[in-house]
Amino acid sequence: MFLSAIEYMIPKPIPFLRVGIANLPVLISLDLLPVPLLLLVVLLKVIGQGLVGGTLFSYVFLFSVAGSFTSAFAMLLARRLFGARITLVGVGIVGALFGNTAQILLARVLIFGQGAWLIAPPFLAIGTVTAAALGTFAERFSARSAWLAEVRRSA
Amino acid sequence: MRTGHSTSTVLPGAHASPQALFLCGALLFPPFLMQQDLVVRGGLILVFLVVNVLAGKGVRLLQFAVVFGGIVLFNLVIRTGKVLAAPLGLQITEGALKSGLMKATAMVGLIVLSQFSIRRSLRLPGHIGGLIGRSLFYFEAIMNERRRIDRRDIIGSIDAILLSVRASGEPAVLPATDAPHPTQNARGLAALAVLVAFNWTVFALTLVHPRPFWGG
Repeated sequence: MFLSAIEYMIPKPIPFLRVGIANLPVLISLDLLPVPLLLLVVLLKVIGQGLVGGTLFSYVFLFSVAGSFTSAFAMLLARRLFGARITLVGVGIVGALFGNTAQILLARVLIFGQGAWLIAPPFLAIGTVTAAALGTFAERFSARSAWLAEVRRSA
Repeated sequence: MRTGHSTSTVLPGAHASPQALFLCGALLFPPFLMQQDLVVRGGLILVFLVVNVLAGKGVRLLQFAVVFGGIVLFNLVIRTGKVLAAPLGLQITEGALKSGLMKATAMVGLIVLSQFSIRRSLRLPGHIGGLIGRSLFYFEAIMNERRRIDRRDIIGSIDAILLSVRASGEPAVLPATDAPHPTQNARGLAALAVLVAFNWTVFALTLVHPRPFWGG
């Protein structure tokens, strides 16, 4: 939620266009939590973002739900299929591609109509770049964090 | 644009608990979303903007204008119906403009309504509500420490904050979900009830007396 707040403070041209740093806890939790608890983290993240950003009753919340859950399922699937052969960078990119595609499809229905296909290429490109950066950060954080090591020990 | 409010004046949102505001928002968004009269919908957005300002919430007019304009522009790309104008070679068709305006007003209106009715201090009931309350406790604790983030060592400084918040432990008693809001009063609740009644009445009237899309 801390990361959600940071993300909320970053100016965006369109409210549902997020750089995705709030996905960091989900990315780190992938190898730490069982699937039901991971999905609970995603649920808490989207509701928390809705509360912190005050968007719980808006389309922004729907975009957040669609993007976050699709991304989480895609990341889980990637981890299951490729195991240790895929890094958090790869997992993050897979999650971003699926999550952003879900958001574009929703934007096609709710907001932009056919015009959504115009924003799709830059949206997916930006999402991929930020997901790669986020994955790199997650890899380094996982390797260095004393807090995460403590959480792993107590889990 | 940010304004304060007098404590002696009863304003929608200023004297109501987060739970009451949440309920108010839940009751307000169906008639707004189902409202098909563009002029009335625009008027309702103005009402939501005004109550937001009166409740002391920030209103980002420029951001709303960019969002609104962007949505209308993207919808104009697909031409449907008769051509109304063609500035700079861009054909503005009636069907595309109507669709864009309805979607843009829905988007902006729901954001404004949501910002009015959702407060960070809202505590939802049940197990999930308890977990969200706990998450918000940690969120507030971490936000209080955010100045300690060092750009030269982002991972290390974030880690130090997480460790210190973890060491401080959970609150003995999490904020109760049904505790009365310190400034809530009957008149504050009545103001919310009037706002809800007004929206549903307007919706009913536009159902009974539908007008052409462009009003008049």
